[in-house]
Amino acid sequence: MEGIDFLDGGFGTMVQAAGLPPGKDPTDWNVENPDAVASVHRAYAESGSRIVLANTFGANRLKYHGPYDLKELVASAISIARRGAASAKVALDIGPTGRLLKPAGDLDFDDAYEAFAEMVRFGAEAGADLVFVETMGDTRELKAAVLAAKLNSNLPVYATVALDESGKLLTGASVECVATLLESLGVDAYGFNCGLGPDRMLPFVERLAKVSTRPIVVKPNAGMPKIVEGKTVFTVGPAEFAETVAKLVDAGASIVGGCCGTTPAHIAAVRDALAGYSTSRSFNRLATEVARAEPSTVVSSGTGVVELRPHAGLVIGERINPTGKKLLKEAYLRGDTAYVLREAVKQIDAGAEVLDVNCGVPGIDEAATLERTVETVQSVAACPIQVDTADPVALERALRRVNGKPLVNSVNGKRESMDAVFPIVKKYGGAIVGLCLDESGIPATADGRIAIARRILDEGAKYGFEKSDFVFDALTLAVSADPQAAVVTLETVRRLTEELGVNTVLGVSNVSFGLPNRPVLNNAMYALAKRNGLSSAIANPSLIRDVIDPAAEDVLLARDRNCEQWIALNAAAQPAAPAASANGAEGGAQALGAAIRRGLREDAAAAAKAMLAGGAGAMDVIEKGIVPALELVGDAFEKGTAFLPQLLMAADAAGDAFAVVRKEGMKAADGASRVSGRRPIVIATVKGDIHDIGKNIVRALLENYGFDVIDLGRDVAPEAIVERAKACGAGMVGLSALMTTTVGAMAETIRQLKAAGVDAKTFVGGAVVTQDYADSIGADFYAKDAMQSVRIAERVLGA
Amino acid sequence: MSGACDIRKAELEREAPIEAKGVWARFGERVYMCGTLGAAFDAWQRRLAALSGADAYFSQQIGLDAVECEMDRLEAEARASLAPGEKLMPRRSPGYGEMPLSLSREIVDRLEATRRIGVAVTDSCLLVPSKSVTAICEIGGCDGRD
Repeated sequence: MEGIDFLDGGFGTMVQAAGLPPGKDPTDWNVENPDAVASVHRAYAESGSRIVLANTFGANRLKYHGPYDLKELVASAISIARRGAASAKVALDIGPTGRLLKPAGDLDFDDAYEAFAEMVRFGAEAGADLVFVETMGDTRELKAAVLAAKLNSNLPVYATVALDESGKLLTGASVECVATLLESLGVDAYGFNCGLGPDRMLPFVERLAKVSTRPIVVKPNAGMPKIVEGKTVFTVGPAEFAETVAKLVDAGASIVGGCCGTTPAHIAAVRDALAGYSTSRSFNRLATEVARAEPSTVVSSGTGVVELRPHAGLVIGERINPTGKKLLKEAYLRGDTAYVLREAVKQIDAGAEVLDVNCGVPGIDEAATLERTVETVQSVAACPIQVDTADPVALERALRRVNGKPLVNSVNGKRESMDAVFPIVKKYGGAIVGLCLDESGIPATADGRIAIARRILDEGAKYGFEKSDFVFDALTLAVSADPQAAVVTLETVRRLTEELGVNTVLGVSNVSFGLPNRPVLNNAMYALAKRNGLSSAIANPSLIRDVIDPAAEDVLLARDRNCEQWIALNAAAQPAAPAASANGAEGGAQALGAAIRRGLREDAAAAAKAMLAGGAGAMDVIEKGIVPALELVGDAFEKGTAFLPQLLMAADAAGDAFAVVRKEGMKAADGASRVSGRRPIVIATVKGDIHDIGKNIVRALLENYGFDVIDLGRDVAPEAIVERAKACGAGMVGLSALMTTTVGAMAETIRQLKAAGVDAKTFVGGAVVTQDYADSIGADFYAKDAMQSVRIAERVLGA
Repeated sequence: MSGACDIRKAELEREAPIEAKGVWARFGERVYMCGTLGAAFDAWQRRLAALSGADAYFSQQIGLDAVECEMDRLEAEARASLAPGEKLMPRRSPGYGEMPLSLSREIVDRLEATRRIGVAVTDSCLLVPSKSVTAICEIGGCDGRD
């Protein structure tokens, strides 16, 4: 039976049968009734379990609220298991905290990590043989537990998750998503427990076997649970259980046991049923299937995976990178989360499959900003993230927080870079972008770049990285500076794909630097690179297309000497400046106003564009088109003839018109509000409150009325609000709280704002907030709804 | 204008990732229930709110309706399980009337709702994911019709 390991079965149901009172935490029995706990372990060892899980499932500081010291409980649990099951290995059992991590819940990643790390230190000290993380329903919490186990002990780590009937975790992660994460974190074995009976687990074990390179663990329930009279009941008996578990072994599982409702009789039946099995058979098949799979680089988010493969040309959204983006730089400096959220959502809607996140702004705390931005982006993005930084400290902090397996941008052939980046990625998991440059710069030839790629691969292998862990960037240089630049890049992409068998990435837009009509050149470069094997491109997903313009191809393939034809063709094609037309502006304002009043976003944006194209000034668009329309709708709302959804739709349409003005009419400035000189408004949902829809509606309305809003997000500590309000010179601070349990934080924030001498008026709102309460905590204004927030802002900051 | 609102709300209703889940159990003379739309709905709502105040508002309405619908389903199941002569009293949720918000934790714990449907209670007694509801129905005696 070499190769198959037998775990134990259900624990809670066993101790309940031994007399544990309903509602009593089984963890306490490590002190109060050690003999009963030892008896359960003994029964499992006698039934064939070679690994038993100590009674520590809930022994973490976030879940355990009993009278005993956790260190004592864990040490006692390990010692009891050792005594009860002398022939078996003893695992420190780590279950979930019972809390949800941010952004789904309120638990910080580091708090979860610390709770698990403490357990692991206690368990390792007490002599546990391995760490068994189980019943996880959230990839974030899973990562926190596995990292805690790996970074606080040298013990083997097994991890299992609880799937629902659709084969997903409660937070939406697929089987492949879990596998990608756990492979990248380097656990020793992983699989599934709880949630399902063995029959329903079968298809998911089959899927896991296709992607897993580690032994597969299964601990199914004895069927599906039913609650009868407050008691959980399982109905699958030992013989039926064992028969189905054998099918799981056929499918690739090799470490087997049971979860809820299973007993020593179930484990004994499994042992007997598998007596004739050659485990080498299942292992060999597993190894073969993995070996057959085409090399690919897989990255993941909290819910899904993305596979990079040659010629796919998938798009990595480049817009969350402050290089050349003044508004994003400002958003970072001001701690404004709303801008980043918008960019993330727009890129996903435009088809980005991975989002690059870069926070490299001079003078900024890059590590803190990158960590925060990664979490912000993950709160709305179902796609994986590319962490983009040259700062190892920022890289480590961000990788720790990434939910899933990210791309890491980047390592290069410099010794210093490889020494800094490889150990961090090894620790936290990730696929690595390798830049084909080194201490001597970027080689002029494909030979030189390929040599660097080989060196990066060799050095990475010393850390255990394989080819599939890398995505190489052949590097794009401007054809305006070197006519051969694109030719060399394309050749490098082809040879990286064909000779080295690796995936590739390119930031294509550098190629067109200094030339007219850049999007067409960029598209041609992208398309040509795809044909040469390009796996992925860092680009603007709204613009990049797989299209080759013949003239652009001539430029890129060095057939258009000095780009002369291209320049001649495209200089002539530049659009002429529109002629001014006063009558057009009047008509345009009416059309814009009508579109806003009717809540038609596209029409409003088009009308604003038409006004500008017709010669109207930016302030004309705002003062003649946007503002009067918003006033009409706002008045109607206050008179009760229009309702909140209509107001919000009109405001959205106005916001789109404002965006056009900002982009096309005020390129020198960056926002209508700052043109009018109004101070910004800082808004936040207070500490402890994670319900932020009301705050988001207020933000949208204020922005769409042209105010400069800095949204600090939700669950924001009073200190952070004071610091940001001071730093940006806020004219107003708006606070939202939903429940009676969180309005206290609102009072504390106002107290701290006053104590710190922040020169800003405060306004408060939320489901349980009233005028009386606002008065009692010293708020300057109470806003009963979003429109009143606008009216207050107009009064304080000027309309 | 209200037509544009209706159209947009209908679009969002079709797009909303609603996978309602719920658990209930009887404990003596009380039925505990917990229903949720799960993490996917919250993520969808955050995404909408990033780009549109109106969509944030509509999604809120859609979510509230859907989770109430799930609670109605749980209540109907619980009612169907009653013995002859027993009657389910009106559903009440923590945070309303005299029922303290902190009771949510007991309901979630006793139903094992964190493990079974992914609902947890924060330090400030809020339920997460945000479109989650806990409730209790008392079981009364014969109402004279049974």
